[in-house]
Amino acid sequence: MASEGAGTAQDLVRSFESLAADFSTEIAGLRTEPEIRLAQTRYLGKKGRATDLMKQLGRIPPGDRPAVGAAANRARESIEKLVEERLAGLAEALLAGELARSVDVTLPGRGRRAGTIHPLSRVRMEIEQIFLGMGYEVRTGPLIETEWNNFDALNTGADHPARDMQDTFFVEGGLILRSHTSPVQIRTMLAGPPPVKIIAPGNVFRRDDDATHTPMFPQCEGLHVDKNVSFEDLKATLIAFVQRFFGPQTDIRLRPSFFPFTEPSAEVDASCFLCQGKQPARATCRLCKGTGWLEIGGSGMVHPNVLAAVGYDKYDVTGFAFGMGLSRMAMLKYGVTDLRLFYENDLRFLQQFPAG
Amino acid sequence: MKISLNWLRELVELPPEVDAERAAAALTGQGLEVEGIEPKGRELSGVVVAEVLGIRPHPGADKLRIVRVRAGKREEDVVCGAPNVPPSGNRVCWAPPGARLPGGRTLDAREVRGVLSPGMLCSEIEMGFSEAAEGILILPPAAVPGEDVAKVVGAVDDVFEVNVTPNRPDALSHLGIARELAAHFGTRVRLPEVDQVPEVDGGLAMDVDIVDAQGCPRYTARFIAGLSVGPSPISMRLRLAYCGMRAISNVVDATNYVLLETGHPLHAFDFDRLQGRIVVRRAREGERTTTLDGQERGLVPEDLLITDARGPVAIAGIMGGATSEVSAATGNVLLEAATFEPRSIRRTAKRLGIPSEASYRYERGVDANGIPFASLRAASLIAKLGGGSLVRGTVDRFPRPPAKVTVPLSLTKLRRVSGVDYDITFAIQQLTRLGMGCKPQGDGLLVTVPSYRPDITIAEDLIEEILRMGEYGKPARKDRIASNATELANPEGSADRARRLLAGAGLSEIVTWAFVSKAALAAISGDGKDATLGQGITLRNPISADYEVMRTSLLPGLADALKRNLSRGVADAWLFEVGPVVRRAPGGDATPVENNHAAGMLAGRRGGWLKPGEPLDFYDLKRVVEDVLRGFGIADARFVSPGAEPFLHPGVSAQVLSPSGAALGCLGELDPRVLRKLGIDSAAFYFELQVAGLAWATASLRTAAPPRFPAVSRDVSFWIDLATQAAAQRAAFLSAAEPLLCDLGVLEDFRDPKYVPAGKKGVLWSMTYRAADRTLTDAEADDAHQRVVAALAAAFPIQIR
Ligand SMILES: [Zn+2]
Repeated sequence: MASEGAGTAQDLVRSFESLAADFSTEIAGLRTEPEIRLAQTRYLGKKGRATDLMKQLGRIPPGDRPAVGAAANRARESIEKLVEERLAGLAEALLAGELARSVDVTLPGRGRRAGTIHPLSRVRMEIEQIFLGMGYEVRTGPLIETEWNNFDALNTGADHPARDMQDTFFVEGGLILRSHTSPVQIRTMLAGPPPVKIIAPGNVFRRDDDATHTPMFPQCEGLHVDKNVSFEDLKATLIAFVQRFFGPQTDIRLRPSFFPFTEPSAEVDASCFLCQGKQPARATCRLCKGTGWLEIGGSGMVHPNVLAAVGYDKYDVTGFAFGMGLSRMAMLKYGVTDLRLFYENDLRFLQQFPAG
Repeated sequence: MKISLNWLRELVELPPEVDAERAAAALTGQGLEVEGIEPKGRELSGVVVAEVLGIRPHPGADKLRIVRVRAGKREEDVVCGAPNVPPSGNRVCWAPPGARLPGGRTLDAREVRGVLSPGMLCSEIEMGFSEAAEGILILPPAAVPGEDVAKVVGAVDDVFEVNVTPNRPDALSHLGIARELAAHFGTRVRLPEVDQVPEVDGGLAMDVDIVDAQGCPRYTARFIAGLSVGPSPISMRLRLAYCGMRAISNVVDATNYVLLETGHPLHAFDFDRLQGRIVVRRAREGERTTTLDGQERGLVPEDLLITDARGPVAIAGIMGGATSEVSAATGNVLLEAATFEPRSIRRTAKRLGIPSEASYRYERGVDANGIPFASLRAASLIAKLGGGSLVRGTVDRFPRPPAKVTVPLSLTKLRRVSGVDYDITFAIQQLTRLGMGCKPQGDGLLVTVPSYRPDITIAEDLIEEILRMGEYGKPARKDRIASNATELANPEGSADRARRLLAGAGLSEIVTWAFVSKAALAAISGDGKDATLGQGITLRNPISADYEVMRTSLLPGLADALKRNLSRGVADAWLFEVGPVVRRAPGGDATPVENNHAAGMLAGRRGGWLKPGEPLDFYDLKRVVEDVLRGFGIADARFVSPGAEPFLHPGVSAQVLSPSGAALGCLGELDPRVLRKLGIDSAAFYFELQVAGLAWATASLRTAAPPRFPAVSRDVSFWIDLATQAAAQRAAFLSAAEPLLCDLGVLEDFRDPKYVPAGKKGVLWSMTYRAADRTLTDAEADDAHQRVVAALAAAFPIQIR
């Protein structure tokens, strides 16, 4: 019996050894984790081949059992190691496949493009930001105005020659379409005492319709009234503005002029930001046409009659006002050569002005 | 206004280095903007003054003659075909070989019918002096043979286009511009020389009576006798032409010449065609007169007239009458020099629509004190050119002499307004250069203003005068920049907020004019049935019928832009506009109501390159509107059908209401009939929102922390009546007041008649359940879902699928 028992023990040890070899052969053909796990269960599970072999352990003499037990452990460890290696290899192959994927990054993004903001809005927003940064408030007013707000309060009486300078649209009820945004200055000053520090952007109307004039166009005016506001403050403010709008190298040039609502009055030129007003670039500069200067608007010290018209004490406060055409600013800033493009609303033009 | 530099140089001494550019820069810097400089006469060279020595016939042609001329030491025989070759001793213009004429022609010696001619004798046309002339130009005897013709007649010149602002009547003449240059360069003005002409006593006289002294502060008349009317010399005609005036006759040209020189309008009457005396008065009701342009003009009582015993002989300050016009037969002249009230002249000129060089100046103000000089200068010139005599005895009626104007200027004010601590010497120096008298007074000056500067009435005017002589151009003092940059106001108004949201949603902003055609308003208002949309505020003087009424909606402008883009091949057009619409005030208030609207128009196909684009539908439009509403913080706006607007499709439109029920706007597909009227050949979707409404409906933003426990979702799918809207179903679900229900939404709205029972639609809802304090069990979720579905079943007949 001993020999039989010894034979059995040896057979059993051999069986455990072949168990691991069989498993190795079997999983070599398997491709997925579930298949491998299933195979592992068939060998090491409760009803697996290793369990079956262990059931024979009772027939082995107790002295031989430790050797069989050791063989069983070796087989289990070997199978578990095979499983681990195989799964790791599989995961690696999966990851490699995943990483092998690529896209054509040059195809466009999906979905609708963001829209665009009109250049006249853009330039207005930019100008507003600059003046907000200098402590101005943004004020607006109606398009349909009284003649008093538009002319009389602005030292432009019914027979004032300046009323010839701008041809006004009249509407029903004795009202007009405002010919500048200056009525917003009047409304603001009538609404409260000084100090006043505002800009007034908005559309205005004049009876002009040709290559360089449209019957409606946007303006932005500014007004600063307080004690001791001087012509020097006007100059400094205009310089600060043009340097933020056109660039830090920009200079201004004031030329004496005439507006009924300011005295002294000045035309405002900014130095050309393309050629910097310097030769030789200036001579061939298309933007400033060789002058080195770009006309940007009008300005001046608020006329005492205007202060008086809104009930301010003209001996106590002074102020300056300035105004500019936004179409012109947008043309300069964005290199637009034809004013009409702003009102044609051709998307192929407009879509060059991103919303950001 | 056109200004001749040659003429200026006669009136003011300019430093030798001052060329046209520098003179122009000086004027521009002082507020008289030179908008352009036109060089004149540079194309003509080498043509010389020649004396005619003799004329003989051409052997080979009847109409040609051979003229012997001398220029300097040179003598030649020139062939000439002109009928008016003058007798020996006269001066003509000879273009010898090598001379150049305008148009690039260079002369040479060539044979004319067998006779060699060294160049030619020139007409005004050939030398570019005028467009029409008969024969060759004959120069006055004073022209020295051999001298350059272009120089002798003043053809070489630079003409400035000066933009004179309406407050500066003093600058509307060569003398006025000369004064500015004199002030700039520190030199003196030279008054033009008055010609020495014979004077006679008596013979001509006529009294003047000013009835309306308000309208006519001064009227003077001078008389010139025994003259003959003819053309004026070429140099004068050339100068008039350079300044934009047509030459007429020596008498009229002389008045125009002195007008351009001094700025004083003058009028010459044919003395022999006047009767009785001159009366300056207002027109009578129904009075008529024929002006010298041959037009008959109806007059009104505010028109100021110059009349004689028979009636009007001129409309004062505007145009002379035909009956007293100077003609070829005129031998005696009455020369008027007067001032008229600017307002009266402006009204009449505007009403009659005849602006003239004279009225242009009278409207701005003519200096009464300058009249005696201008009148004497013009009368002498007329006498000289016409070979007549001045009659002694000038009539001068001056009922309203202008008051001497003095303006006080305090140093404190100068410093306060300018922002610079100038001293008084500086102010005196600047003002004196401009012809003002300065006397010390208080802490400043009492300034006497010359009568030709009516624009200076207050201290601020003087401050501008002080600053404009150079101070404008000085750099600003940097310490003034951006003082008190403190309070930052809200940088983004509601309108700009709408702009950014709409651009973010994929729309492009357009800008259209605030006025539209009446036809467009009719098209969008159901032919005016909707009065709010159809009855816009009308313009009294529109540019054209396309722009005669203020827009009541942004639709016409957007429709127009869509149409234009479609016609240019841009099929994918998502457009928006933000801006005011103008509507009549309710209750007949005269002041219209203006409100900012934000509107959008969508046409084309859904974007994307992966799948061919599907046509747009209502829900593409609604997403845009929802994006804007959400951007304003309005998450639960209500969409109520049908839309109220007459331009939207009755079945595919809705009103947008705020949670509290206030109207925010509308959205929907455009009615195909309206599209047709607007000329759009494509389906289009439209919305229009009130910006102020959006701003008011914006609730302040309240937030909660994200939920801590997971949610469970359950679906329900059923048939329900086609007419039962999603909002009603939702309300029914919510009526269960189920505390665990935290979200619900439609996943599917299924209407294919092949599968759906008649009159029904299939709807699939998905609900989300969550408890705030624990993870829900499946059973809890099932129970909650059952209660929610039961609430729907209680409200509407449904069949669960
Ligand atoms: Zn430039």
